[in-house]
Amino acid sequence: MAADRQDFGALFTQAPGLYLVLDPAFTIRAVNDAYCRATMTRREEIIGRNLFEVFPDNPNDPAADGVAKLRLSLQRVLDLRRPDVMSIQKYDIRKPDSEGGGFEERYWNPINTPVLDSGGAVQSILHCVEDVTELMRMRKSETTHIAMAREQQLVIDRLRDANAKLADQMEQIRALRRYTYFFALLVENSIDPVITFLMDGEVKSWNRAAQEMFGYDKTEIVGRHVDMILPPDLKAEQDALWARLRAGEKIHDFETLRRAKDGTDVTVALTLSPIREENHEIIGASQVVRDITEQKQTQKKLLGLQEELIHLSRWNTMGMLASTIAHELSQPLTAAMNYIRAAHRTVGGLDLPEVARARDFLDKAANETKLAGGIMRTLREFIEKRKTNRAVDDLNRLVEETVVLGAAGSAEVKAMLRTQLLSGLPPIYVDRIQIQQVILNLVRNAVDAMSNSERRDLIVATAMDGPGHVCVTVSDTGPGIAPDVMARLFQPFVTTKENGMGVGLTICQSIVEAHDGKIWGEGNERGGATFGFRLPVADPVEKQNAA
Amino acid sequence: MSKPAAGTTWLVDDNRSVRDSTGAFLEAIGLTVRTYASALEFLDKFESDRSGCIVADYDMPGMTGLELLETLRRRGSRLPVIIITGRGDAALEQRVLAAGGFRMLHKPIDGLELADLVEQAVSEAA
Repeated sequence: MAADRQDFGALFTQAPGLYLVLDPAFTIRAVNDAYCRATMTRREEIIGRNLFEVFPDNPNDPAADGVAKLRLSLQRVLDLRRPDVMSIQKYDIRKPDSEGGGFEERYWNPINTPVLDSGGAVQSILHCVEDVTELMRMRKSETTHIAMAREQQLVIDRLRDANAKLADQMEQIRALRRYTYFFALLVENSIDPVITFLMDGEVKSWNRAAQEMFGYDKTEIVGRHVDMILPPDLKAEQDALWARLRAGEKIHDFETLRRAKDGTDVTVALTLSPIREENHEIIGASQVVRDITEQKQTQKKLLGLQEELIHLSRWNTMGMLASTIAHELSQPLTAAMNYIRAAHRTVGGLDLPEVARARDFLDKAANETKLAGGIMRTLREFIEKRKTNRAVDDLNRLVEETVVLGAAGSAEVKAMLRTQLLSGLPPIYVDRIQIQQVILNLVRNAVDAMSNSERRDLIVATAMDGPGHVCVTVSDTGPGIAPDVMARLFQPFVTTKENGMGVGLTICQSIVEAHDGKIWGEGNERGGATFGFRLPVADPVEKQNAA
Repeated sequence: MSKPAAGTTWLVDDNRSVRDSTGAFLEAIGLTVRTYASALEFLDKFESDRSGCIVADYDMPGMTGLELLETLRRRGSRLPVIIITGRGDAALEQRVLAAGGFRMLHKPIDGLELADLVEQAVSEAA
């Protein structure tokens, strides 16, 4: 048995596995050669010492948990009296001073097995380990490689993403910069002044046209209050505009005045638009300014011309009216006179005192009638003496000028007026005021006729009418001409208008016929009426005289 | 004022009261008068061998007094023509005379003056 025991002792000592025997107080009682080699210890130095004194945790590894884990496992063996297989455990080993000291990283696969006495108590613990450091190192380096590769890939991917995003953003920035640049150019070169300002009035931009109109350059006004160009007496009006802007309203062509640096006021039309942030909050406004001084002056001049024409027309109308009345009255006066003369002659042969008295009365009536005739004659001579200013003129020009004037008066009716002028018409020899009066009269009539029409479409056209005449037609979409009116169109005192006198067309006819022309009226295919007149083209002699 | 003129006075005027009253007076002083409401109506019934004097209004629908005068001259009639008008001017008078009219008279017309002119025209034509 002793020999057996010795044999077992040698077996234990030289076994290739790594074995350590502990007593229940974890004092090292036996160790084999392999174990000593693996842990760089010497048997005589460790026998009889506490396990954890010989193998403490690596003080340089804060995560070291070898001692704690091993102690727990051993405790479990004592408590449960059965083997305890630990998972792979990092447990660094102290290197001998001859090898430089310090600790060497090691991984172990420990199994702790109780050795029971006959009473079943734990007599000792067999601590058997396998050094798996190489394995762990290989595994670790493998995982590290894979992990690193994976991480690198992630980093590359992330970089690629970031790069793409960056390129995107750069492109956006470039586009934005381009847009901003073009926009700035557009604003800067706009013919109209464009001003932007914040809601507190601070001017943010001021273009070249603004500088030209108001005399301030950018450095003088950007950053200052936009009211620098506001005439002080318009403060209330400006406040109202601000209120509308704040409410988000866009304001179109608001006519007002703005003051230039030199103190002069400019008549302008403002178009104001609120500027909103992405969150829709109104942060400022843009203001486009249009100089309408000239437009106003043109309008004024136009109105002046219109008044003049109306004035002249009125005079003309009065003359024509007098002429018409004279003509109309001359008929019954002729009749009255001749009836008186006839009566006188009829009773002339009778020699009675009553008849003598009657003859006396008839003579007086004849004298009175003659007197009326004299008044007529004076009136007619006065009308005849009215000077007519005939000159060579261009029909298209007359139409264009008149249509502008006629349209100015018809703004409230909102008729759509178009001209279709045949270019290259030969000249005419006319009194331009009179011809314009005819055109104006026809246009006004047409506009009036359409006042209750849904469609208000007015066409004024010129054309040739045979080789020797030019003509003007005025075509409306009114109700047309009633058959009973048609026959009496140009007769005086015939009217379809409530307040009309019925002399307009009669006068037109007089004027046109005085120019050796002809006037007419008819229904058109649009259901409305077309009035037209023709005039002879100027004789070469008249053209020469004019030239 | 005077003895009746030879022939007939042909009175053409679209205005009925002028026509009737003037006709009435000329007849009262012993003239033979025929009245017509338009130039076309007159031409329709006129025969070229007639004698006397024509009194025609200028401003009539269809054909004016002046056009009537021109038509008659074209047809070879030498009958004197007096044009009466309510709105004619000096320029019209020139045209009437140039077309061979005897005289132009402005309305309102006194029958006495017209009768004198008619007599004068007829005696000159004779």
